[in-house]
Amino acid sequence: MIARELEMAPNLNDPRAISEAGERIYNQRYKQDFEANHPGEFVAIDVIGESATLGNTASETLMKAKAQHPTGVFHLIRVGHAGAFEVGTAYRYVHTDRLPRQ
Amino acid sequence: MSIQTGYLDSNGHPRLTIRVSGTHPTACADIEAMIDTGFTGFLMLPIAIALPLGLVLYGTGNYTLADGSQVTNFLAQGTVTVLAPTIAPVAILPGAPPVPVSDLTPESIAGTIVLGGDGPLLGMEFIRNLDKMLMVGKTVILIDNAVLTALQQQAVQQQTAAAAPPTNQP
Repeated sequence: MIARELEMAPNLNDPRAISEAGERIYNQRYKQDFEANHPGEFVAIDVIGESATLGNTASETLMKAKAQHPTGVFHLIRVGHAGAFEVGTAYRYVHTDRLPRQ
Repeated sequence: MSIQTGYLDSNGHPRLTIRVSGTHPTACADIEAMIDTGFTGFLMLPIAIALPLGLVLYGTGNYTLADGSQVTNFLAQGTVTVLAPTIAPVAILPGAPPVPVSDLTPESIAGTIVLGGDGPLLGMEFIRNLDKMLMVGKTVILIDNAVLTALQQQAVQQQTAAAAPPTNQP
């Protein structure tokens, strides 16, 4: 990793910082092309090298991205969707806010 | 060829017994995971269970909850092996050669694990990657596709035999 990349890299201890960096790179460099040509596919954005790897499933995409960029840190996006995954029926199992808001 | 069984828990949710492992050669966790067809991912695993397993960290991903809100979690690579009790297909396939249960090998699938949540969830990506059909009713059954193919062939043979005109005996 070169010095410039370290300066540009998000805080890798913070998942939201990695997510925001991945979304920013995707929106700036890939969104227009991918939404036109790869709707519904998964894309892994390397937040260090800013590369993008496409695939048909989340697992396939991330395995391919890791093989191509072993030191990469990736943010997974599903093209044209708000999130990479959806959790519909088991809401209480995944809610991270244990304290209900008043 | 095999049939594996899961179960419905006290709340009526389908569950499978699975083994989750990462890169560590001996570390693994046997867990009772809920099958959630509303979850589009592979496996969601609480961090407290996932950390000792040495899963390979990929980065992050967002998932959308039922109310439309977004949650960000770390993602990692791991392997899931179905540990559900296995029975040989003798009972449903009278013509099939008997298969010793000891010869049946458990199926392992590598996939992306979402680190988070309050309990382990198996999602649709896991189900699609299985070389089995999942049936949920009063119990949970995983049937090898090979068994289903044999059953279909048997049904076609029976239909053909039933539709054939009777041969005239002299």
